[in-house]
Amino acid sequence: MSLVDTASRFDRSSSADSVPVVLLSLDVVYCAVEISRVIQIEEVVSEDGWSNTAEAASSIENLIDLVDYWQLPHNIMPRLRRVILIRTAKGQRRLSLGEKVTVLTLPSSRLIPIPLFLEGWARRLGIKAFFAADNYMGFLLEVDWLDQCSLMEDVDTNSHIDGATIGE
Amino acid sequence: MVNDEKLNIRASSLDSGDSASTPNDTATNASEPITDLNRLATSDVSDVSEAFLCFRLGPFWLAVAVMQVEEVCELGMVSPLPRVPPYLPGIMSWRGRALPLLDLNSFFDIKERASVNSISSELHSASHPVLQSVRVAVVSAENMRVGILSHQVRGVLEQMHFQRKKPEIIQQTKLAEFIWAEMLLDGELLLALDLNKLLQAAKVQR
Repeated sequence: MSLVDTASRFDRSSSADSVPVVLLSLDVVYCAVEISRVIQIEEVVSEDGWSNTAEAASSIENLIDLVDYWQLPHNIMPRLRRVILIRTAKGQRRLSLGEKVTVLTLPSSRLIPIPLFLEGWARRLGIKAFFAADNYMGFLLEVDWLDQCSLMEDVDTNSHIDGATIGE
Repeated sequence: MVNDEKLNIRASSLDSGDSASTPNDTATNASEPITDLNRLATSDVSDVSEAFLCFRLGPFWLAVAVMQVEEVCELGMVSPLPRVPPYLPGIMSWRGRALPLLDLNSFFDIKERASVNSISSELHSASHPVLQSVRVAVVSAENMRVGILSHQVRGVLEQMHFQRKKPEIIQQTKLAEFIWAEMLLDGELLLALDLNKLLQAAKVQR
């Protein structure tokens, strides 16, 4: 079963008790986006067949690569880049972190408020809550923050991306 | 004005190494490092007597009022935070909350003992033996809560008697700005930390 198949059959409806999310992860870094805002999950490829590399990802304009934007250590650079196309208040944006993409439901009880000490940091990075994931904590992203992220512009529909729509 | 006799009593109490002793139940020993304490004796001091949690910071001991300490616990799994200063190695789960961790060695540019590198650099190497000795002092001030990392927590010293005064011994260090009193403890410097000021300064701004 492919990732896309899994996602397309997933219940997108949120409730007071849970939030369905698409989870991007790399090593111990987890980033979640509410699935109601996800249009499509894509995989990076390049024209010369050298696929799924960081270099290929960097050739895609208008993509915010969290590995770079969050300045993650080079020793956890992903071998594969998956991209999610997201609906924001002002249009569509693309987001990437690494090779792992998972769809899951976050119980509301696992959402953890941002401590006051980190509020400025969270606002700057568009993180609206933490959540418990395995033994670590992840970041729930405020999708509309992508509209004001300086690295983002309008999505280039001619970028070299293979994808599949996962719903709606 | 603080008189010398009073200072002598305090010096012997601290240098006895008995954390349970109080300034009034310990014999005076004038040979103890009164010289350093005399440097603290001026007319503009205000005395503060209460219990403090003491923990190691490089060559110093830091003291935080127990009223600002919620717990001392072991280090849990640390989740790194992207794009934060080096003195913030990450967050850990604490009682269902996200606890930001603060590495004061890094914040104050203090070199650890030779055999121990900065705690931050070790945090993400799983099961590193050094981490087993790391303790987290969960403290709060200014409506903020953080976990201060330390390799050694001395415990609570009751009835510590500090004199609020601008530090002189460490005045040339980056640390001085955040210290409101200093005294000797077993021949090592014990520094009273201004936690409110520290958290305001360390808080990650927008």
